[in-house]
Amino acid sequence: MIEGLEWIDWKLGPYHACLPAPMVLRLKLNVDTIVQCEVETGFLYKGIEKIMETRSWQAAMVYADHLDPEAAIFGELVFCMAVEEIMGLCIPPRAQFVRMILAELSRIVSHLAFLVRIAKTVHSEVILHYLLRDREKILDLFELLTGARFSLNFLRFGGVCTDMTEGFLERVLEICDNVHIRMREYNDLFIFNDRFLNRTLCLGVLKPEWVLGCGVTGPNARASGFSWDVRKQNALMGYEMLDFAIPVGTGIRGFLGDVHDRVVVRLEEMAQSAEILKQLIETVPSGEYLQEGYAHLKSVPAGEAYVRIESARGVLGCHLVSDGSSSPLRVHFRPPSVGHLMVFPALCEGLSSEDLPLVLASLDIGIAEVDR
Amino acid sequence: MELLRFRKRFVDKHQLLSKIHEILPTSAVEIRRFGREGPLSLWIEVQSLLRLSTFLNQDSELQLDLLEHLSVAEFEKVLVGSYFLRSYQTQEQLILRISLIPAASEGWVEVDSVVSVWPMAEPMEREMQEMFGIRFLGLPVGPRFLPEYQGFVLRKGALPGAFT
Repeated sequence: MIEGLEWIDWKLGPYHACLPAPMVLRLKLNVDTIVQCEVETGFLYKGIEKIMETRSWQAAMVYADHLDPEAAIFGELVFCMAVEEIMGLCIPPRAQFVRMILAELSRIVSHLAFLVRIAKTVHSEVILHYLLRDREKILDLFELLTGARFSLNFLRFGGVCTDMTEGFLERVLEICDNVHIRMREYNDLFIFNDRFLNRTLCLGVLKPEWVLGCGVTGPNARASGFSWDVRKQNALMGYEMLDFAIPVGTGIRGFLGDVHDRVVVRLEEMAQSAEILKQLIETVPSGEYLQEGYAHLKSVPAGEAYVRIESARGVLGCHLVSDGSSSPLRVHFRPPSVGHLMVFPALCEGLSSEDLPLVLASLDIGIAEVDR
Repeated sequence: MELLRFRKRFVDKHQLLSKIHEILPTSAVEIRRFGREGPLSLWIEVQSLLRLSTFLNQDSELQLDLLEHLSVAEFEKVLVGSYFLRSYQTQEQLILRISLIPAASEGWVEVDSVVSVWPMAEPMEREMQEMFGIRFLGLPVGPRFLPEYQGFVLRKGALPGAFT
């Protein structure tokens, strides 16, 4: 610190209008500039992993849903895949397709929620309502297929709970067309909007060395130029037969890895998800949706597995240990938001306090994952 | 940046063992596959964790520069720590494993922190320190997740709801 200058200590949270979730920010300010930031979490700790150890295998799935309430399917998916890895279980192709459709729809939902938070922080009420309108349509689809809008509890070990509802695929196709139409509107409202550009360009630059040092993954890492995507690396996820691109940040208008890049990458990812969905719908195989004999799984053979998938926020891992009994011995998730939260104090230094909510929202930190 | 395409690359067992044997002859206890067809898992002595981690991180061929996950599981009162390592460049994987035996059911155990090698270990170690009672030597002091909780939440003997 520089002698002679007075620093203002400011504690924000755990509940505050500028915070997307319960957390405490301890800031040191020089007039309006943030000099230092410390983050405190734990206000939403639910003990999901501990509870899962005390439940039957199928009941544990319900808790995996609560890992990230905005995109619940990813928690279910990674837990299911870990169990199937231990058992050496292959799922029917139709079930794989349903899982991928749900995952891509959830990715769009999660990115729309991200854009809502961004719109809120830049006080763009109009965009916010457009985004929520589109998100509702996908949540309606979840309800049509699973009966639930958020905690789906739809996956089963060896497949999915039921077959697709009549008319589901047609409505998914409508959503895909809708995403492409809306993309033009979003481009006008975000990318070609001077007011938005003034707020987001060259702000909150996530440097490549911070990405590597803090283990940042997902769209945040891609916005900083790293083209990592587990969908291109993990054959278990089933994306190898699909043709899709991995959008990365370019920094063409500001700096590589700024808030603007993080928004643009997510917009492009939504378009890519719509493309993936279209390809999936064209080739949905017929057949079983659940591996025979696994509808009521009582126990899992002793063993352990570590599986990772590309969730909407980044790499989501699950280390699962079974001792052969009727409940898991240990479930430990690797949520992507831990890395995003770790890098946040570094992004804050030198930032104006009015930009703090925007940078925080742009990292898309799911505090439910951190305080799981 | 180069696009990393589909591939599952695992560290070569013999190459790894010979390298470790040169540097730390007594550090590796056992080497085996993780899970059914997973990467190599290397069980090591707790005392050699930091030196071996530094070597794995700095070796020009292995380049295990990402600590993707740190997980702890309790097997019959033995705490087993698993460090899931990966290389950003080559996508090679390796799992370092250590076992820690607490003197008492509510006793602490100690192990070196690897924050100096992999900075991303800090939040993971802090969580494991609080939840399992593993004191990571060299870990910067930070706020607790559950300051009002007595004991170590994720150990098998922990009682749910034991809040002060």
